[in-house]
Amino acid sequence: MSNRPAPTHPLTMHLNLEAPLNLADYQAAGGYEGFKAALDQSPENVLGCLKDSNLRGRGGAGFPTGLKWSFVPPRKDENDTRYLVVNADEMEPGAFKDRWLLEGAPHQLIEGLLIGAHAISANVGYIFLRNEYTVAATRLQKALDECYAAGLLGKNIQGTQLNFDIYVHTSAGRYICGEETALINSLEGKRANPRAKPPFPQVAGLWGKPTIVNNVETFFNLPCIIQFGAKWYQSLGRHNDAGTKIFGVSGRVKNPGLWELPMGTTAREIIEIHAGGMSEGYTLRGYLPGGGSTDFLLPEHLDIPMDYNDIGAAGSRMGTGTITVLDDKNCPVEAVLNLVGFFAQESCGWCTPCRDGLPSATYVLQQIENGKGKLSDLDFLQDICELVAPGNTFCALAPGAAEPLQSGLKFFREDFERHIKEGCCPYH
Amino acid sequence: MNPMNSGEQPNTVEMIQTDKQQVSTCLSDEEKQEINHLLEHYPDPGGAIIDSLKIVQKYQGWVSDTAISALAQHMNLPLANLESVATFYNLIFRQKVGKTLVHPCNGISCLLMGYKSVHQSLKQQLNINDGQTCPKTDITLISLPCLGACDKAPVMFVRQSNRSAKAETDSLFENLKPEAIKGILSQLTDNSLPGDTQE
Repeated sequence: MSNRPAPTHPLTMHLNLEAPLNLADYQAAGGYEGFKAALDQSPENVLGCLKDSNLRGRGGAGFPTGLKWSFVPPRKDENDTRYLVVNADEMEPGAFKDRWLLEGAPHQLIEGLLIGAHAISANVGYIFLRNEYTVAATRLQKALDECYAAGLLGKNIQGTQLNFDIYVHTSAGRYICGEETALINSLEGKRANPRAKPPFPQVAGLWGKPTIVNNVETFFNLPCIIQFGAKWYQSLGRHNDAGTKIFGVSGRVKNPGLWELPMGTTAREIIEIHAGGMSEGYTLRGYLPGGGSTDFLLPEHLDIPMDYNDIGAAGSRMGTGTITVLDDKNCPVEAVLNLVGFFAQESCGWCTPCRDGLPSATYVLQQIENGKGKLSDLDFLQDICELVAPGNTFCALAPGAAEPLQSGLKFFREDFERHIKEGCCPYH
Repeated sequence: MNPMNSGEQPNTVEMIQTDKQQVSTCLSDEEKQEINHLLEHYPDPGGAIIDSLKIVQKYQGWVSDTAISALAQHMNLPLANLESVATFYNLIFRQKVGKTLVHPCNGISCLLMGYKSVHQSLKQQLNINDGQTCPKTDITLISLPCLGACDKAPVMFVRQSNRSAKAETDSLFENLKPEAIKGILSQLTDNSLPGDTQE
């Protein structure tokens, strides 16, 4: 074990956006020690540590990572292929954390993948990267080349039985690729329609082989969890959830940006202290706690800890943890229209409620924003929320679209009604 | 006639019609080599479809009917497989686009921070609508969803292709103001902007 003290900021301690650490500097700063610590243990122990840490997937859904990985069936023989996939196709409206991590510390992602490869005996890893993230692509490829040259990737890594290759796969742009089974279809070179579950990807994923798909930030957590242990990781959280999280704020605040903070930090602390509060002349109307597919919350919710269950109890979701603030000078109807319009455009068209429901909601919202709405339209929009509710659609895209819509209708009702009664947008 | 330039979208479904001679000579040896290299990475040739389309786009600027037919032949895959993929993804272009792609972000944070005025200025300077190509500057304007730079909103992603060098240069313009658009566009073209001559 290393003599280094356990870090307080395990996700960002190696982050350098100007010039990310190269392999030698990353190793000198303690990098790849988490991977070494993993190699000293059996895959079962690594998986056990991950389960004990209570790490929850950072892509948005918050599924326990250790549990997800434990569904991978035991390997039949040496040639049994299994895949690890990084979901780096960040496209959630208002989310910008993965770009930051990828550009700032590419080696930490690779280290997380190597730990994963050891834990589930994967032989190939794909980094499914957003096409527009070209800086990240260049930096990742350079880091991968360094690892191959140093024997950290390829055959018999560090003199062990572990063989592992990583490829960067740049996407061609579609939000639905963030859905893990759609991502797998896209990797196979198909339209990114989601697949029916079961079978779950852990059992039959990419080309029918066991496949684990996790978000960039999830992999960034692994090196320190393995190096410093589950107990240490649990102690980082401030409330019920373990570890730290990348939180961010965008919109009309004084200091928009990203920060690594303990899980359970309140939205008030994130917005008022870290983001410096609202910009001069603007007041807070509401906020999306974790991207475009999360329900709006109001200023009265600011003191709720940003924990998966607490935000859930308040009627929204943690999502990506990147907060978008809605100020009093922007039109809430236009904001909801923008979000629902995005999901309508990005629907893959596979199931009817999503393919037809979202465009009609968008049309009606546009009519209201243009001052041509009717009061009965609000009931229609409410019906659409129910039409695309979980269980009625093939995947979570349309239910995600309904979140800002239903909460917008609830919290900004008077704005919708003013548009209809006054026959114009009062904000323009 | 390129429908994007005329501002009209074709409203009838057209059959993909290609000339056999043109198809057989459409892909250069370099393109074929890059595609063959890709095919080795995947257990199934289908896995290489998206990247192969991107390779064709890098060399030819867009994916024409002739090019997609040639790809299907070269990869020994049904044309329908390639077409279903090509028409699905935002960044595969089945209509001709300009040498410079200008993509302002219309994600929620950029909307709240002024996307609309930036977009308005772009349309005015180029004298086109979203989805069209300015014939004078060879710039195509297409808004894209959230570009993941929300703390620097509003932002704009620009991809310039140098087809003779088979290379693409990408840049991200941050914290945009509508009054800065003219200067940015002028840097992207040698010609004067259509907006210059307009009142």
